This record gives sequence, structure tokens and C-alpha cells, in this order.
Amino acid sequence: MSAMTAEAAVAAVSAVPQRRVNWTPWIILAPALVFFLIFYVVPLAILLANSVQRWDTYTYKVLDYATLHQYVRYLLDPYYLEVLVRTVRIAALTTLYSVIAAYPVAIYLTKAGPTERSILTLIIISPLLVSVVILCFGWMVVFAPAGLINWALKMVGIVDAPLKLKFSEASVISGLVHVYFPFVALSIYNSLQNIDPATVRAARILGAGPIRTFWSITLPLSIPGALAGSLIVFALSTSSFVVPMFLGGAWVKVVAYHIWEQNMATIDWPFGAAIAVILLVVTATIMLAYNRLMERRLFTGVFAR
Amino acid sequence: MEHVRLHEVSKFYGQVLAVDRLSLSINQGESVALLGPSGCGKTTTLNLLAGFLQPDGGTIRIADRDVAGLPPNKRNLGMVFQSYALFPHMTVAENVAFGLKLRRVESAERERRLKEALDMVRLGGFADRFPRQLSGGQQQRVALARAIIVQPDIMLYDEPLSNLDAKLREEMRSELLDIQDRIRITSIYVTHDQEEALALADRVAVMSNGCVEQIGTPDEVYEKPATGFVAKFLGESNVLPGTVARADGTSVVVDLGGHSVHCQTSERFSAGDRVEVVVRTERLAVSPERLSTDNCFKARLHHAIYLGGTIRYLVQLGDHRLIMVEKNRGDRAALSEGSEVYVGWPAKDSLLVKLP
Ligand SMILES: Nc1ncnc2c1ncn2[C@@H]1O[C@H](COP(=O)(O)OP(=O)(O)OP(=O)(O)O)[C@@H](O)[C@H]1O
Ligand SMILES: [Mg+2]
Repeated sequence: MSAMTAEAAVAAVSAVPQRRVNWTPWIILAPALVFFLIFYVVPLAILLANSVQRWDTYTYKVLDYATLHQYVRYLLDPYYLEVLVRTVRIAALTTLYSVIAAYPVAIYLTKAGPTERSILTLIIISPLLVSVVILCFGWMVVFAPAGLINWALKMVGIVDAPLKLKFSEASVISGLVHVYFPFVALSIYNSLQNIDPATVRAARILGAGPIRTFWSITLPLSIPGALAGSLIVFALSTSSFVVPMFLGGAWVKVVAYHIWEQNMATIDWPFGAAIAVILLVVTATIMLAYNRLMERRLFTGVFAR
Repeated sequence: MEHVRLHEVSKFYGQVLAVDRLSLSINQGESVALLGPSGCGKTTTLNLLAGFLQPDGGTIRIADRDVAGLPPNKRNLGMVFQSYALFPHMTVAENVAFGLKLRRVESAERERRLKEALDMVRLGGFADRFPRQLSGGQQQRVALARAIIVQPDIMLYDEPLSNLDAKLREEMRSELLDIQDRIRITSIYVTHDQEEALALADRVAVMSNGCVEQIGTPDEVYEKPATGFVAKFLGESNVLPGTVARADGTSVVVDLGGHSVHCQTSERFSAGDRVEVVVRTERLAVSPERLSTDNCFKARLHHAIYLGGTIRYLVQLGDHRLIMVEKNRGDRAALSEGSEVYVGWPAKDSLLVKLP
């Protein structure tokens, strides 16, 4: 009896702890994973498979199942490449202007009282509460030949004939900034909120004026928010369709327009799929490079918190 | 020589009067602690000095110059914050050299002073680390080096040690004293830790409700409290309400309802005054035999709490529960709880506070 217990005790002590698989996180994640698999991974696989096909655009008969034909066709065509470059340029400028516009707003928001802050937040997210189509109509009125800007320019006598502002890159970017600005503003605001106010005071008492303090302390410490916000805006802008359609029309074509055209008008799905994959790769590459650049040593301390 | 002068300074937060006509004068090279309970306006006073807040009334003079409207960056002060407030995106060296860069100190000189400052806080090997890679105590030392390196006119400390654990706090305290001895700079400490205030400061200003109740050397404020608030706030005290029975110059007898307590005071009292007798816990003695002090009463021992270095006795004296703390010298048999004992203390240790 006593020998038994002694043995059991030894066994208990010497037993190697078993590593048990913990299923709980997987069970919790399951619904999201299933959704992600069905509605993202599978379609993406189909898209990839489609993009390496070639079919006859009259009979829709598949001529080839594994070819880079569509990619070569796109990347060797100067016209398509110009559209690709323009899309990236529009997205980059939209991101830049959104960040520039968002900073003062976000900073003001951190200094506002509770009531003012709620009202301001509502105003900031208001573009998301209104249909993008409605917003575009608004901008069309602003940029029209007899619209607000031309009217103002003529009033002060800067121009005689109305400028052609509608259907320009500028009008597309204006629309995009308007729609996506809330993401950056709130993201930067969130980052600013996380800065210990004592660090700002420390800089001030060490001899830094308000501007120097902003450049050396507030700005670098809010980079994570600006980065997150600008990545969202860049991704959304490269794939935006409605705003360029309404505000750029046939004059400012973007990649999303060609994807739509190939899939819905020309019915050349493999080519449409290839364009989509190219856009995805280009956007992802730029975003990763940008992310890398921003997270370099300079900001180690900020990001590792 | 007077270095800092606050004259009738007031500060409102909306309707709340955080600092109420506070006057305070600090000499060149002196270190003064602002000590007081939570919410008494210590941090607000410090922020007024630093220039983060502007007073609603009164004047602040630093080196005989009115600093009203002068922004913090133009005051040449050093400040150590409770939360350390290091710049998380800069290395230790960048943090410490920040003030020198702003002052356009040329780089060779900057390197020299950086090394000197880091050595002073014993962080020589940590120059390239980021703040998050340091312990709390190390972070606070970086903050100290960062403030001192610019050779400020005045150092301001807002609860500099309160985020550290007890042992580290002790260590940092003696380190601060060392550094203070070396650089002899006018310093103002804000703290609600009495020991810290008494240990670090040449003079202690005890604050309550936005005013300075008393300012004096540590032993002045402890031994000769000017107001009832100071008497009760500093140290651990027994407070016994009663009436003055007899007053004869400096010697006063107070009736606690059955017990007559002898007190010594420099203030004037007259028979019938309602007063509180304040006796510090460490000034009481307890014994199984009669004590030969001015005041000696028979009482009942309620509890004897063994705390290692000290023993705490809770004694019932009539309606009053007395607390006393005794050094544990390990040379006497434990008093048994519930037994009859004598408690006593000298007349000079009965502080008298007049009640309105
Ligand atoms: N920003 C503020 N807005 C409104 N009231 C404030 C503000 N800051 C402080 N107060 C109030 O002013 C009074 C003094 O505050 P202060 O921070 O100076 O106290 P303190 O002595 O530093 O206290 P603690 O020891 O808790 O830090 C308190 O009653 C506090 O509630
Ligand atoms: Mg405080």
C-alpha cells in the first residue's frame, strides 16, 4: 500500500508535462475562418485560375488553361500601363492629401471638450453616412463649367473662360479624399490619444517650442496611426470604382474601370482576372514596402510598444 | 538669496479652486518639498511654476523676474515626471541629449556632457537602449539625467519616486540626495510621501486645500506643527478631544473626560477652551509597571501586533483607543492581550490644537 503511493508519487514528479493542444481559439475563430475561406480564399483561387486561361471572346471556348498570355498582353500595352500608373498616382496623392488634411483635425480633436468632440466626430464620419453617389453629384456641381469654383474664379477675374475641372484627376482625388479622410483622421486621433501628455511637457520644459515639439515628439509618436490610416486609404483608393467613374468618367480611367469593362462589357474574364491580380500584386507590394520603410529603426521605440 | 517667489498665487479649474492665494519663497540652492494629501494642489503649483498653466491671480518670480506669460521652454527649468515621460522613439542617449541639441551645443561638447550625465546616474552602458528596454528605476534615472544635463536653474520633481517599489524608492532617494549634494541646485519636490519629503528637503511646505499651512525644516514641521492639520497630517498620531482645565503659562492641563493630561505649549490657552491633544504613536510608552512620566494612566491592552522591527500596541484608555509603536529590542516578555498596563508620555509630546 505504502509502496504503491511512493511509486505513484515518483511517477507524478518525473512525469514530463504533456503539451496539450488548446482547441478553444480555433473554435472561436471557426465562423470567421469558414467565411474567409468560402468568400475570400476560394474566389481568389478561382480568379488566379481564370487569369492564366485564354478564351475565345465570341464563343467563350477556353483555348488554353495555363498561359501567361493575359499578363503579357496587359504589361506590354503602354495604354494599360499608363492607366496603372495613373491609378497608383491617384491613390498615392489621395493618401498624402488625406494625411495632411487629417492631422490638424485629429490634433484639434484631442484638445476639444467632450461635447465638441462628439459633434466633430460625427462631422468627420459624415462622408461615410452619405451614399458615395450623392457625394459625387455634389463634387460635380462644384467642378462643373458653371459650378462653384469656376464661378468664384470668374468673380474675382482670374479666368475668362471656365476651366475644365470636371472629369479631371483633381476632381477624382477631391472625391476620394472626401470619402476616405475619416479613416485617417480617426486613426491618427487614436494614436495621438495614446501619447502620454507628460512626454510633450517634458519636451517643452527641455526647451522645445510648440512647433519643435510637434516635429520631434507628437508627429513620430503618432506615426503608427497615420500609417494604419494611410494603408487603408491607399488600398481603398487603388480599387475605387464609383468615384473615378463619376468624377473622372472616360477621361480619367483607372484600373478598376478596366476590370469592370473586361468582366461586364467585353466578357473577357481571363483578361479581367489577370488585371485584378496585377492590381492586387502592385498594391500589396507598394503597401509592404511603405510599411517596411516606416517601421525602420527610426521608429523602433514607437512600434514595439 | 531668494530664487523663487510665489505671491498670492491662485488657480481655478472651472469652479474648483485648486490653488488658493498661495505664497512661498525659496532660496538659491535650497530644496523644498511640497507635501500634502491628494488633491491639495501640489501638481497644480508645480505646473504653474513650470509654465504649463497660467495663474488666475498673483505673481510668480524666478530670479527676481516676473515669469507671467513666459512659455515653459523659455524658463530653463528641469523637470522629472511621475510617469518618467521618456521619449519612447528615442534611445537613452537621444533622450538625454535632447535638451542639449535644442540649445545647439556643439557635438563634441554634447558627447562629453552626455557621457558625464549617464555616468552620474550609473547608466554608462545603456546609451543605445530604448526606454522600454529599461526597468522602472533605470527609466527614472534617464529622466533625471535628461533634466540635469541642460544645467537648469531649478529642478522640479513631481512625485519622482512614487512609481517605484519600496526598496528601489529607498535607493533612488539616497541617490537623489547624493546628486543634490553634488550639483546644489534649487529643487522643488512634490510628494504625498512624508518620509520622502522629510528626507529630501531642506524645508518642507505642508499644503492643504490649495494653501501652505506651514513651511519649515523637517524637524520644525514635525516637532512644532503650526496648525492642527499639520500636527495630524505628519507622522501617525493619536488625537484626543478634551477641554482645558487649567492653563498656567506654558503648562496646560486638559481634561479628557476622566483623565487629566499635562501638556506644554508656546501658545496661549485659557480654561474652558475646547482642544485636541495630539500625541505621536512613537512617543507613547507602555509597560506593566507604573511609568515615571508627566502623564501616566492605567489602561487595558487590546492587541499587541508583532511587525518584526516594531511592535504596535492598541490600548483602551477610557473611551479612547490609543495606538503606540515601540521598537522591538527583543529584551522583554510579550505583554499579554487583555491585561492591565500603564501608558505614559511626557508633557512636551502632547501637542495642543485649539478647536473653533
Ligand atoms: N485638469 C483639471 N480639471 C479640473 N480639476 C482639476 C484638474 N486638475 C486638477 N484638478 C483639481 O484641482 C485640485 C488640485 O489638483 P492637483 O493635481 O494639483 O492635486 P495634487 O496635490 O497634485 O494631488 P495628488 O497628490 O493626488 O497628485 C484637485 O481638487 C483636483 O481635483
Ligand atoms: Mg499630483
